Amino acid sequence: MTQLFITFEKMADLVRQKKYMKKEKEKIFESEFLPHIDSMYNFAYRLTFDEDDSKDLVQDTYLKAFRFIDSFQQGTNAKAWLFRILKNSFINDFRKKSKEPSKVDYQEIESYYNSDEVDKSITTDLRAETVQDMIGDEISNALNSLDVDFRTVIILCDLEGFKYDEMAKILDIPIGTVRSRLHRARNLLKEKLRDYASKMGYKNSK
Amino acid sequence: MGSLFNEESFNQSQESLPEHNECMRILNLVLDGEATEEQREYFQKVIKNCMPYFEIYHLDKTIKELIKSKCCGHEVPTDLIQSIKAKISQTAE
Repeated sequence: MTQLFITFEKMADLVRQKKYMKKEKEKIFESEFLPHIDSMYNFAYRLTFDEDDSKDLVQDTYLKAFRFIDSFQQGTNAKAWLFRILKNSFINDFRKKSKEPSKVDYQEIESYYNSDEVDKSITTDLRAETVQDMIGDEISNALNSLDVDFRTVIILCDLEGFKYDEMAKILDIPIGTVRSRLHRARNLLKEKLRDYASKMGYKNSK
Repeated sequence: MGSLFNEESFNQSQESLPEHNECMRILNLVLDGEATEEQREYFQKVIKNCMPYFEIYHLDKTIKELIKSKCCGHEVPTDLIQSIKAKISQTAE
């Protein structure tokens, strides 16, 4: 009988624990995940350029986050964790069915942009003042025109303020690759801005 | 690195690249708040003495700030949070 009583107590504990865990999950979801929804949606939009697709991607990310919430360690960076899920969802589920044309071999792109050719084209004829004068959507358009992998590192670093080690985890690449990709991405962005500047007749020469 | 400390040799240094690449590497670290104290001090000396590096840094910093201020305008649709919560409560049941 005693044995049975203990068993009931244990069962009651287990039930209580399960209930508490569910509440805990909801608390984590509300207080640690949902506050990042603006950044998540903006990231999704910059990847897909479509409102409905962005909604689907963000929703899918949050559902996955909830499903796998046990693998999230409280006190760690929830935003980076969510961004990683979103990026993986975009690559694994979304990119396959998106309207975006199939990608050229990424290795090929990376090796081209890692060559010295790109550095040689760094322009010192684009000035900070010229860029500051661009009051329209030029910056946003230039960013959007970059290949998705280059666009992503700029979004993560400059817009969302992730550190290099966090970006490495989000993107599953070494820190050295984060640094070089970011460097190339910035050069490409400057080239785009220089093109805008010359097309729009901004004063551009030194 | 001393050869980079004047404007005249900047273009030459771009051609013969190891020093230029190292300087650009540190420039990016400083820009992103990832540089060590030593790297920051070194870079301050570089931009003090070499106008082209100062200009590149100034330009990169300006672009970084503009991205932060101009590329975040997509508002979350109002029904999205409700829709997510509804789906979660469905799956939890």
